[in-house]
Amino acid sequence: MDNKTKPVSFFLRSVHIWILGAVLVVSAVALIGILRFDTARLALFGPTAQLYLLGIRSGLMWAVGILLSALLLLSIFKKQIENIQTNLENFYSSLSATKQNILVLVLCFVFVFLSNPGNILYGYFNMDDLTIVGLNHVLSFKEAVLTPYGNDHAFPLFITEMKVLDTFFGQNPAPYNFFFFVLFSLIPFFVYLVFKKLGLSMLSFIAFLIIFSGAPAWTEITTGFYIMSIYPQILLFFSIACWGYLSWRESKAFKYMGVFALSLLLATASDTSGIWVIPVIVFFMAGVRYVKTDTMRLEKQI
Amino acid sequence: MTFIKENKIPLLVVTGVAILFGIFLFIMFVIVQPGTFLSSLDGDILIPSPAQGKEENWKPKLLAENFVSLFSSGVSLSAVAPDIGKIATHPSVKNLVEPLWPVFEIVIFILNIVLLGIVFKHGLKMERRFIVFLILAIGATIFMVILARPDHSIIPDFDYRYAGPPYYFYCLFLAMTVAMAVRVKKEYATRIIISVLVVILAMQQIFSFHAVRLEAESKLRQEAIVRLNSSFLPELEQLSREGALVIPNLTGAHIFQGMPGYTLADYLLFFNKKMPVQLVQNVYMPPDVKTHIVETVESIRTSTSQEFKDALKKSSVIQSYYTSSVRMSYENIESGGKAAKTIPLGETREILIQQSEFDPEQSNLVLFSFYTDDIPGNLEFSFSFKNDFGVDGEAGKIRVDDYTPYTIENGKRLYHIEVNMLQVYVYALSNKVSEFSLYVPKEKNPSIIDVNLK
Repeated sequence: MDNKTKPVSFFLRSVHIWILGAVLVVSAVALIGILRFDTARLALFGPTAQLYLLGIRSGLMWAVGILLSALLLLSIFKKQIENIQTNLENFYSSLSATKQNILVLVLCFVFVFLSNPGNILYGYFNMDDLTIVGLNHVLSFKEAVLTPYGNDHAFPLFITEMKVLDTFFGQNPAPYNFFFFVLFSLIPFFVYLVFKKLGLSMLSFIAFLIIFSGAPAWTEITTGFYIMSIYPQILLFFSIACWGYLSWRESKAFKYMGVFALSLLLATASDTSGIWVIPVIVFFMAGVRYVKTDTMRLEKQI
Repeated sequence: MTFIKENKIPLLVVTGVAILFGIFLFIMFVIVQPGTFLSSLDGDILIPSPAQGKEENWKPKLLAENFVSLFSSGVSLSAVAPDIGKIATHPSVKNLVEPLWPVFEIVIFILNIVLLGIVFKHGLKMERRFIVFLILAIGATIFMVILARPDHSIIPDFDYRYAGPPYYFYCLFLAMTVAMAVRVKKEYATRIIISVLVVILAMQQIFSFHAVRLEAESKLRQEAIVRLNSSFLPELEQLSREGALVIPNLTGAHIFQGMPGYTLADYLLFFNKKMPVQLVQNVYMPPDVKTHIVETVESIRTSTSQEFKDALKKSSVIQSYYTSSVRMSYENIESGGKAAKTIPLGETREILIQQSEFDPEQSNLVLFSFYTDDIPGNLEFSFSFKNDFGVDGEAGKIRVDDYTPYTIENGKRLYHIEVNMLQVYVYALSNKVSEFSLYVPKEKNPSIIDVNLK
């Protein structure tokens, strides 16, 4: 290694520690500042402002905990981490494809649940949900399915789901929370199956899982408010359609074309906004045409 | 041509689904409910579709601005700092943030272009082509949103109803970037990527403040709705057993403050309660736009069954709903006749507006003007009066917050408020009312300059 590349490689070798350290310092300073701030000073702004402050405070505590743990693990237990990484890699590789899928499915459920446990557990019917349940009580199923909602929404699939859940469980929120949590958790799982077919690494999938499923903005949708699930449902059916298409390309088996067709139908039956699936699936088909499974396969990183 | 040949079956499937979807849309929005497609709702008001006002909303410059804004604020920023717009749009900080926000959005957009450039530089040919698909997908999903639901606010607050699909493709793009980074700089990339993912995970915790609020609200909502079903509805069922009953439709704020638009009518349908109860309301109460089972009457006092009025005097459960104090809606009015003097406040901070008995249907409009210090924050005024139902204390309140319009006079905020008391059940149902008072809060040091009951 020449003199020029030495500092660069030193920097690159330790940059992850600098990144974690810098964010940890900023978060810790912010936490100290917010802990010293008197919540009562926000009383004039109403309960929401106080709740937001408490939320930021507890979030900062979690963030400092996560950053500190990661920093310690990566700097002090570097060797042990590498061993664990190798063992995990070996363990994952030793599993059959089905077991690998089950493992990732469990990972998706656990990660999505742990991202917002309180929101998923305590979710309860919100606003339009009441209207939809009420609609199913006053109209026949056929009429309800063919009734546009509000200005320009139509979601026969959601009306059907709510009808079934209402028939079996009434107004008990637990089965609804569970059902919509499962649908939401299946999105990263089908993305994993697509990644696998495209030969993308496990690290890429982990990145997707954290950035997509961990995004706090989804809680607007996962805290009850079941009607909002129509939007992630469109994403789920799109993901299934992509997997169905790739599987069909590989095997030419008719059943995968059935999955592809059914997923597209369900995506568009989820809401009128599901219209985006139609052009985008054609883009996807054109995009993967140039991706040959083996040429894009990368070495496993985890 | 090869693409079409190779994909004949899936393309036929896509075409078939598109045709079926087109037929479905035609039935729904041309036959069943014509003229509302691509419109949007602001509360209960239908906003015309952008297609109808496309000179306004579909100008290329506005579309481009909206595109950058949705991508930067709704998609890219939401990966690490979602809901920041909820704080940035508060009136107490809005003026500070607004001039900087468009610059901030442009910077985020440029940084993403730079990232895209790096990815393109280092990507293999087939990777680049897949990235092109992702860009097209992000572009198409954003474009559909800005056409159907244009939002030209300076600090927009896009939620995942709109930003969800492009965010999904953006995450795929980032995942693809991870794959390429590992391939190009395998030695260091994994460590750097893991640290960046840890940072994102940490940021997600900090910006989960809105999730905390949603969880708290959801618990309160469940508690309120379950209580309604277990305490109030059985009482109503009992009352209606003796014959058809006419009662005022209970507005949502009396059931759960967080859902003021959902009234007793909605809950009766939600719980599928089939009882002989006719709901009535007056024009001052929030209109029933969803269920269409509530009748608007001139006087709820005349229309309401005597059995219900008697129950309102005796039943603590019915009283707890119909006599609880809730926030009333009010209007900001143009400055009326201003009194030069401030009305003095005693230790109780109450202003007795009318002591003698009067008919509430004859006098029900309260107009008042006041100054406050020019500082941010909320303040609540409340009303109390003697009534036929023996309800003491606060019967209704109004909240003046930073969103309430005001003018500045001599360094003070000046408000003119008009509120109709017939929104309050015990006021609207009473034959006589007396000792009608306004309570003035201490916050922001308000001084009342004029108050009238008409």
